[in-house]
Formats: sequence, C-alpha cells, structure tokens
Amino acid sequence: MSIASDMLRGHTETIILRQLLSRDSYGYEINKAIQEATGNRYELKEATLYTAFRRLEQSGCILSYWGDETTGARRRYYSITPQGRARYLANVEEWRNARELIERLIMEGETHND
Amino acid sequence: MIERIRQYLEQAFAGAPQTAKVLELREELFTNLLDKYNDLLRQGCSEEEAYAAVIAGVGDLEELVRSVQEPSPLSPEPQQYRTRRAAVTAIAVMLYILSPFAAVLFSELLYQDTIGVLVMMFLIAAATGLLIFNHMSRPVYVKNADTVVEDFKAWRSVNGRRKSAWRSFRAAFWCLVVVVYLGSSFLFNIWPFSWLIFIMAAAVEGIVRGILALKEEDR
Repeated sequence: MSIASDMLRGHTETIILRQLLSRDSYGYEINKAIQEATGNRYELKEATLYTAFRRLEQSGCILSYWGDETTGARRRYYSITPQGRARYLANVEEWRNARELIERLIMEGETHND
Repeated sequence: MIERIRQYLEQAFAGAPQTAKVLELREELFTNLLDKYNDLLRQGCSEEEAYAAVIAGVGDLEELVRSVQEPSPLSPEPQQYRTRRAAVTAIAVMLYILSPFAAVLFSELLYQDTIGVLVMMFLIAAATGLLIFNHMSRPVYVKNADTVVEDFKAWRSVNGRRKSAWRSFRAAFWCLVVVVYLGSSFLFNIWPFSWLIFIMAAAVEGIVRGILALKEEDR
C-alpha cells in the first residue's frame, strides 16, 4: 500500500484537476471523492492536498474564491481554468506513455508487437 | 473537540507571520477539518476517535505553511535588466558630452550655425528621453501580502519613483532652457534680453509643480 501511496502522491495535481473538471469544489469534498473512488484505500493528507492547491493556483491552473455560506465558517472553492484543463490532458497523455513503458520494463513473459 | 482542532491548527501556524494569506489558509483548513470531523461523527465514530482520525490525516503542515509565507524581499532586479539600464545610461551621458561638439563642428567647419544648434538640441533631447525611459521602466515593488508593512513598502516605492521621475524631468527641462537660451541668443543676437527666458522657465516650473500638487491632493 505504501508503494501505491507514493506513486499516487506524484499525481496529486492531476487527481485534483480531474476532480475539478466537472464542477467547482472545496478541499474536503475533493478528498472525500478521492477516498470513495479508491474504495477507502487512499486518502490525501491535508498538507499534501493544500500544498498542491497553492501550487496549482500559482501556476494558473485553478482559481479560488470564498463561498458565501450563511451558516458556519466560509469555504474556499476551487475552479479549473482553461490552462488547468490543458495541463490535465497533457498529464494524462504523459501517464499513458509512462504506463506503457513501465509495463514493458517490468512485466514478465509478455511481448509487445506494435 | 472542535476547540481542540482549532488549537491544533493555531499551534501549527504559531511560527508564521499573521498575513492575510496565512490566516485565510488557516480558516480554509479549519472548515475542511471540521467537515471531516462531522462526517466521521455521522459515520458513527466517537468524538475522540473522530478527533484522532482528523489529526492523523493532516500530515506535515510545515511545507504548506512555508509555501504561503515566502519572504518576498524586494525581488532583486534580474542581471540582464541592470546591464541594459547601465548601457542606456552610458549612451545618454555620451550623447550629452558629444552634443556641444556637434554644434562646434557644424559652425566652425561647415558654417552652419543653425543646423549645429539643432543637432545639439536633438542629441540632448535623445539623451534625456533615454534617461526618462530608464526611470519609467524600472520595476515597481509588487506587494505580496496584505499587511500594513507591505502597503507601506508599495507606497514608498511608488512615491520614490514619482520623485525620481520628477527630478529627471526637471533636469531635462533646465537643460533645454539653457539650449534655447544659447541657441536663440547666438542665432538672433538677442543677448540683451534673452536672459529673461530663465525667469520665464522658473515661472513655468512653479506652475507645473503647483498643478501636480493639486492633482495629488485630489487623489
């Protein structure tokens, strides 16, 4: 599990962008969605999640704004920018290539004929 | 328990300066941790269990806190700009020094007094333009946190820029006055009264300064 966590952490930004593709969201909702998508096997540390938010915001991939909840504390929402969508697609493409290479390198007894 | 979560965060942020960015991050974290805590209670955790799970899931906040408080010293001017500015200043000074030679050259060798003076004025104008361009294109201090200190730094930077722009305009203005004085006196031989230009120039400067001051107040 720890190996998977390390690999997943390397894709934190892509995972967040993927969550924001369909609609704006906030920290806990995104983390909850990740948790559910992995069948409770993976959950981001808050520190990792919010550091990634700051990085994405600085590079112009996402925007943030404060919600206007009438009760309780305010929430900070994030929305993806066109630049963020482009980054997401590029990252997915990169992952496809990496996955193919890694499979060729570590899988046993399989030959690829392309 | 909710109070304990707040205290935990306050401790984690204890070393950070109280800038708007840092406080916003703390508020954001607090609401989201609270969401998680309440969610865990709904799923049947005890308060103690929920608190433990929330805190365990936070991870190492140190890097996150550091990422929003980056000390932003006056970002040093990149070397290439400094070199360019130095080159522009050097060229401007060279033009100033060469300008009288142009006048002498034209009048002594080509017997073209008027053209000589015009070339000299052109060189001075070009040099002054370069210096003003250098002043205006200097980077301004960009404030990166909403604190009084940052506001002050930005204000001082703008103010300093305005002052130095005013100084260079003034220097250029008086240079041109001298040029016009010498040029018109030589050309039209009006030495007896051409000195009046200095009094007029002083008056113009006073008027401009007054107008600028009024505008400043309006803002």
